[in-house]
Amino acid sequence: MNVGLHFYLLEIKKILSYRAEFWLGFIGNVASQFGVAYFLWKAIFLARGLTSLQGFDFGALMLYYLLVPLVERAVNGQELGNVSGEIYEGGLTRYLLYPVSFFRIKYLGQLAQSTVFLVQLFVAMALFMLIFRTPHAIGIFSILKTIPVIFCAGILHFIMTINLEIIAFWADNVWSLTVLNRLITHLLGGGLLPLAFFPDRVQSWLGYLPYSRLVSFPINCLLGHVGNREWLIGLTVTAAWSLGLGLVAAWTWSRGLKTYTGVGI
Amino acid sequence: MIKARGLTKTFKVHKKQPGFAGSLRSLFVRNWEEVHALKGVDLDVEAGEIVGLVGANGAGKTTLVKALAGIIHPTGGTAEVLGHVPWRRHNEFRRQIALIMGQKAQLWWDLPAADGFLLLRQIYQVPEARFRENLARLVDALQVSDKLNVQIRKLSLGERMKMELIAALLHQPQVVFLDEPTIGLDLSAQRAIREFILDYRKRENPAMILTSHYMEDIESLCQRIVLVRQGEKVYDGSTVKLVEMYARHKVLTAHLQVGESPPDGPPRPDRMAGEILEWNGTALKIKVERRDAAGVAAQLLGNYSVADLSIEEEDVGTVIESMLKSGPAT
Repeated sequence: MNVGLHFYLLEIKKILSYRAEFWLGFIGNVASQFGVAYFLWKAIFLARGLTSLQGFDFGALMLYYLLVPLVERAVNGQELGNVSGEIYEGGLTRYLLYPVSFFRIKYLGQLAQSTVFLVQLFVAMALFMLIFRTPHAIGIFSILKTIPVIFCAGILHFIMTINLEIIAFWADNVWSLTVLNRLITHLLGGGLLPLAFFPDRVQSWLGYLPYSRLVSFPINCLLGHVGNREWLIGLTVTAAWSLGLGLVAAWTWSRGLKTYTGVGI
Repeated sequence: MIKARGLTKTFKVHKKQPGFAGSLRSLFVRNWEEVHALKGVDLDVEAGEIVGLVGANGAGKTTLVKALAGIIHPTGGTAEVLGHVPWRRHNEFRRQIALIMGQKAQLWWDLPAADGFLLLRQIYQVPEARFRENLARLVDALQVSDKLNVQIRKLSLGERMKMELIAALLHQPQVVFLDEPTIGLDLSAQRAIREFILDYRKRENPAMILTSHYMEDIESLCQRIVLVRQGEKVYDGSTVKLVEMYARHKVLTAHLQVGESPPDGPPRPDRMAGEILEWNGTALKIKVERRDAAGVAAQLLGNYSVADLSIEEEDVGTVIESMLKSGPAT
């Protein structure tokens, strides 16, 4: 078996072996975010007597907010602080000794998590449609279009996070930076509000930034709001950001390794 | 196999003033201090050698090991390990080395050792048959077959260390760095690991560098010692020669005939040339200057009914300790 596949399967085994984390992470994360959005928007719709807002009726909006935490989990995995932790605690030493690429192993870990979370996403969606009998059906074609989008968004997110976490070679703590990055992604990516709620000019600017590719774009793909041309452009923008930020990460990493002290041994 | 010339390593360390004011100040102004961990170290290690790297805490031993294993970049100097520059970390180089760290686990904590070993087989691309054979031999030698399916985090320190050794040697490395492999272990585990290391050396003929604060490790494993003090090599030679050259004392142990009391009464410090370490009525242990050893032995034989007399060198640990404190005797 290929070493990459071995790492990938091992990570999946690890996720599945922590039962409490598996279920609490899934239910807790989705329920808390969805619950807040549900009560908040229900109050707004009732108070203003709205039937739709920026093209979203209440059901469509709720489906969007259900998908936000699910898509974010599928794109992000749970790798926050993983690389910086390895640098601070000297765990990187192990990967410098082994004849394998550190980033390949780390990425495969994230990919494994994304795979599990993607399955959770589809299960949750099926349950939602079954319970609420929503007319906003998600077609198989949309699902097929979304899988590569989530895959590419995962790579982009991984590279963006790496760029921040590499700073751990020089800074005492990068936790706040990675948390800040998550908040900015959540806000500018369309996690807090659908991007359709932003002014047109802001929306077009946000389209050039990487954040919307991590949240809003995959959700819109899933909801069938993305045409083929837009889909291709979206993937190209994601790939361009990944390439550019990947080059920055490679350069910073090689500089950072020269300052690594292998602390803890 | 290992060749280093003029290795230097300088770390920049942030110095923070103590207290709240110091923390506040460090938000705006940072004071840095340079620490010279290695100051031009030369080292050669051949296949089959186990070299003991000895020095006080902070002397630069681990920094030297880390540079030779390719974990850190030195500030200056050159090194070649198996024909490779270590810090370039070519896969061909990494497939032939191992670093065992007594203070840092390398195996995956969430996995049983058996899963970790399988992963390492993939990483090092060890053929299936060779992997099975090596694993069986190593597991048998360290007697841990019943622990293979236990998560690493649930093993005792000694068991974990044994698993770390197996993990590091599964791919039969030609260069092995052992950084305090017996630290914190009980005596029997220490002995088992020492025997295991000797056995590995006999079987694979690797070049090995060992750092340890336990002199028992150094004495039983290393024919050669490299003494490092404040980043500089202060001695590089055989362990036996170190004692011959730098041991200032010998220890004489005399056992008197049972039932006979010394005619001049018990031995008194003012009458002997050395320092009495032990006197229990029948056995006398004296530490004497090397040059006085023969004279004191004659004195003992002349004045007492001696049943048995032995003259021993000072142990390596004592010699090294005094060298680390004061530098090599001249």
